[in-house]
Amino acid sequence: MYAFRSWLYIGINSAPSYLAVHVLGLDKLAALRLTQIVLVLVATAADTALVSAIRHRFGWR
Amino acid sequence: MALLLAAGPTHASPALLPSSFSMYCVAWSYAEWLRGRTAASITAGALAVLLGWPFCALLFVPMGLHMLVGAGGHSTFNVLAAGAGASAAILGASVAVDWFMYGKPLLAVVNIILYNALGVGGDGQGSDLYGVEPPEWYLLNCLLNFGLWLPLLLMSPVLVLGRGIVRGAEGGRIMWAMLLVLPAVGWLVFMSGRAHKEERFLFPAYPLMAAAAGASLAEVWSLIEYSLDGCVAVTGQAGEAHGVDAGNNGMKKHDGATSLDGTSGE
Repeated sequence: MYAFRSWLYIGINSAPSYLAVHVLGLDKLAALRLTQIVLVLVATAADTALVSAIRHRFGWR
Repeated sequence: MALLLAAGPTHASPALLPSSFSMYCVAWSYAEWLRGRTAASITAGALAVLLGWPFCALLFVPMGLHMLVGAGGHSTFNVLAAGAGASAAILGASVAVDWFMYGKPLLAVVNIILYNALGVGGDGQGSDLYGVEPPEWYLLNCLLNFGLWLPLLLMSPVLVLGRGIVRGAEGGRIMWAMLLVLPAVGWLVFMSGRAHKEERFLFPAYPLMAAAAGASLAEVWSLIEYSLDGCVAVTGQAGEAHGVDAGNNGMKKHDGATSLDGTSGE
């Protein structure tokens, strides 16, 4: 792993956990779960955009 | 439905891996491409390749060529300008930070390709050092991760192309559909040819694999409705012959079943 990529992925993966621990006061396990929920939501948003674009392009139900 | 019901995309989403990041960006890039937004599509693709996992560049080859020839409302100049701009911004940041931290200029994305694909560095084995698997490994893996969607995924190019031609769909629409389903199947074939295999290597293609499986399901469903309509038509004609009013049942055009190539199953 390289510095820039490390920073990027540590940022993506730990920022929600950091906020959950230090802002919301959750314990570490709950923070990890929250991070995973955030990542699932990001993936869901991307997938929803794809499905919406397919419907737009093809008039697909 | 495929994205919701298949296990693969569900466990790939929160996997905390570069492959997962690439997966989000691939879905985003293809969405923008389908909507004709060149700059956003290229930027998302560049993020997937240059910050995520460089090998997923293969997923963008058909889409990139389609945009480069100026099809689908994309302009060649815009494609080249967006590609150059996004690459310069991403690689510039990457090189600057790595140069500062390591004290020498280096391109992480190039080193990843050199080591894993070409075996440069280490003992020359590249990624094969971490184990090799037989060619059918990804098929068995996808059977677990996609279940019954896997056969639909594998049939998608034939079904989409075949049904599109048979029903006389417009060539451009067939091309859009094929450009969406081919990278998914092509990725599976390409990765099966590589000796070193890991489940996460398929993550970037998961959204496209689900879309291809969904396209197949739409075609199969359309075929079933077409067959049922045919049966009703035959029954209706027989009924008329016997003095029974068959109404419009036999010949009605069902307006709901639209397949990926945009033709309905009349």
